[in-house]
Amino acid sequence: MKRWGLLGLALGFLLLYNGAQPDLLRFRSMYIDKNRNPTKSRELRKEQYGPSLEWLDRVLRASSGSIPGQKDELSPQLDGRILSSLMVAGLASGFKSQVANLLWMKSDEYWHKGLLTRQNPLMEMVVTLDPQFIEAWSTAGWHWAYNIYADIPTNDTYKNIKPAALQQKTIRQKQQQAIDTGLGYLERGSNMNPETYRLWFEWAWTRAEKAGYYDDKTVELFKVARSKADARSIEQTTTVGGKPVTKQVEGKLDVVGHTIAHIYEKTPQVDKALDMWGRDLLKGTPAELASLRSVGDYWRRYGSDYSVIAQLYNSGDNIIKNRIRQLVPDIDGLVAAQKTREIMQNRASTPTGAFVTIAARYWPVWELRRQGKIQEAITRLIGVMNADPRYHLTDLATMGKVYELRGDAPENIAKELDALRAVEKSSAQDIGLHLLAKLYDDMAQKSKSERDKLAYNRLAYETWYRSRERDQLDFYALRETRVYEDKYGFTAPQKIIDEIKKSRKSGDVKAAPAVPPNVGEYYQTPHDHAGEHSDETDAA
Amino acid sequence: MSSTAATAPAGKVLSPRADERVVISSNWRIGQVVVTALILLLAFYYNTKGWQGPRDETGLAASRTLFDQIGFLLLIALTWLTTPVTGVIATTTFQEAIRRRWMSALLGFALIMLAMSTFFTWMQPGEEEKFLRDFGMGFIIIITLLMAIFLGVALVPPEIERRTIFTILSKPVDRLEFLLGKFLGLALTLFVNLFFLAVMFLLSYALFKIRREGFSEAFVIREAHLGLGFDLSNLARAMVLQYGQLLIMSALALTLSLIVSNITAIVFCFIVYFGGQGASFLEHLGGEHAGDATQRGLTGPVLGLVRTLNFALPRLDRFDVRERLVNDMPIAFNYIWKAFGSGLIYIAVLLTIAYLIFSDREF
Repeated sequence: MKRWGLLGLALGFLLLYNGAQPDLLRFRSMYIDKNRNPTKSRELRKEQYGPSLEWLDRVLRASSGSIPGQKDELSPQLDGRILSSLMVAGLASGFKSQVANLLWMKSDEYWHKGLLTRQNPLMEMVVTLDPQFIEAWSTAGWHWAYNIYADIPTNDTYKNIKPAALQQKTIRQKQQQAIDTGLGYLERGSNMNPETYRLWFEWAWTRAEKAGYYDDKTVELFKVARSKADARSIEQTTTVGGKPVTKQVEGKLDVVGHTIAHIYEKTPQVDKALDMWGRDLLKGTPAELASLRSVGDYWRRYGSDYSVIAQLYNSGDNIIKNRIRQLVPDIDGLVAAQKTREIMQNRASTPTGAFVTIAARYWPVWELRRQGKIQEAITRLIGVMNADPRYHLTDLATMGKVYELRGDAPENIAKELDALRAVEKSSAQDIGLHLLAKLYDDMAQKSKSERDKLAYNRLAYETWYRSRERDQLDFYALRETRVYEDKYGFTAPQKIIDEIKKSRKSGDVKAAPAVPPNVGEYYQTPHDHAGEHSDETDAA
Repeated sequence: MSSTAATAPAGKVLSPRADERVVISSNWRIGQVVVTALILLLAFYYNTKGWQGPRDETGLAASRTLFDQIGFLLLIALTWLTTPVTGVIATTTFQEAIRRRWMSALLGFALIMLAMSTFFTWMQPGEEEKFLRDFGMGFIIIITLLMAIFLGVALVPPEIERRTIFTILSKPVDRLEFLLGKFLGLALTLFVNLFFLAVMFLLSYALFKIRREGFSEAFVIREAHLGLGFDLSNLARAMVLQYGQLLIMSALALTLSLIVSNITAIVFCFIVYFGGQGASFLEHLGGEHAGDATQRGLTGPVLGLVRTLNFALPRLDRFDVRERLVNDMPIAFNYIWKAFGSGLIYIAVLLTIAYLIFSDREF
């Protein structure tokens, strides 16, 4: 009797034990039933005490071949065979992270041996087993978008494709696939780790700077990254007792905010860029921003060294002051504007500088565009990029007199003025070429005749090509040129490419067109234009 | 020599009669009352406030059930079953256990590895603290698990082999008192070892974090930085949960050692450990991946086996909260008690079976 009683008691306890499990299981897994609000899923995840078993689902689905795209060598490969028996034992006893670390070290070993493709299944397994391993997601995304991308043209599989046109097309497709796979990793990683900024930032960055998608989605992703609590945390290395010590510091530098502003600049959306720099990052009031915008006016007249006028005026005696007043009748306005700039500079140096340069170089062009005067905007912008005194640096002669008043030697004054022009020519191309391409695109859309449309599209294409040739890392320009090539069948403008390469030898790349083009020359089929004269030859 | 022993059949030691048992002193009773009162206080706290989640969580999973109360009842039952004799056996067991050389060596090795754990953070660049938590907890789990299993299987069989069990049971010592005393002695041993390992781990972690961020900065609480205080308290709670797992494994080792040989018991313990850690997988396989007319999956005998294993095995993964640790999520008291409470029920299963086997065993 005693024996049966004890058995019954043990069984009773076992039943009670199993009865207690559903309550615990809800804590572990937070299974959501049909009646739950789906928007609560993130809150529910916070309550989850157990590991996500998504990795088990993926491994089971991969082994049964039901994950799409697994057989393609340019898709993430999940292969259970890379796990040794010791790793499986480790997984079974809950040491997922340690198994992931071992696989990560193996992947690093392959990287140093140059075995790029062998890393792929390892990386996929690492992020599957340890979805909170942020470095792994980041590296996997980078590896596909940069390393595999660069490796494809050297791959014999693609090198042996004939003819050459098909080879190029295949390589482009495969490279795009590699970038998409990299972006896929960053997207998945962001969704697995939504509370940290890093993967959101890298996803947006790779979309923009590698894939060339300068669009609303990229900006949105940067904004998501910026909204995270750790977006302002930076690593700072200091020396303590002779040894470098790295700490996480809550910094004032809003890196993501600056990046968003740069995206707006390059897109280009000049008004949003100014709003970002001025209102968001500088926290400027409307009056302060209006004053800063007037700094741009003075810059347009006297160049980036306009502040010398204010300094000389403030420090000079009455004679100097009177002389300057004769040269610059609205000197009071200049002094006030410069004072505003100095105040704003103390608040935030980079946004102030960016606001002023954009206002100086591009704001008038943007205003003309907004008013629908596209052709005028084009002419003006090309003038800015060439430091044409009709449109930009309109009163350098006065600046020369101010240098003289300061006591500079005449031969130096000439050099200083040339330097001012050179700086503008060089720096204005960065955003200027993108804006010019956009203006040509506007003209193409406005044009009523197909001939004009094609001509302006050709001009837009060539402008993008100029930008791409000027900066090999301008993937936005690269993407845009490919869009035009695919849509209109345009081919690379060899004359322009040669001009830019030639200018590079002088040490200063000149990619901007010298004069506004004769649109009539572009009234031809896409391929005819390859042998045309360059704009500079025409101008001469 | 008691008259009971003089008339017992050969090889069988009978339990002492009620009038032969040690009288429990009033001090002991007072102690039992105090402990019971503390347990009731804990129960009161749990049922009023503790059952809810932390303030910043929605608390959707939080609930009070009958099963939560059973854990308190079992603790109270254990308190009243613990007699002075049990206490003496527990103390002796503890003293024997800590004198074992292999255990001291294991403890020493573990302390050194935990002290040096900060040197391995290069394995996960950018997430050194998460790695440290994961590594430290994992290492403590392995070491204390080895202690629980190897000590657990060596509690009773050596007594039988050396025939010292006759001496013990010939005194007025109930078999239940003997078993409970052995178990509690082991529990005390594991507690002490876990305490030392936890202190070393928390100290290494704290020093690492302070070296990186500076002393004052490490404790600051702000968005995206919960502070060293939070980390340490969270880790300590994870250790408490780990202790629950150790108690189950030691009860299992004790029970198995009464049925099979030492080596077999050790092997079975590890099999049950792996099976118990995979409880979530088994539930998942038997749930989402169960096949039916509309989808492929586990069916028939395999599904039956999975569900049977799920029923019988301890769900050891309930005590593993490393996912929350590495993700800076708090480990709440409500979860700790639920896991602990259900663990106590499973320990009751094991000790009942152990007593069932031991009570009628002939030596």
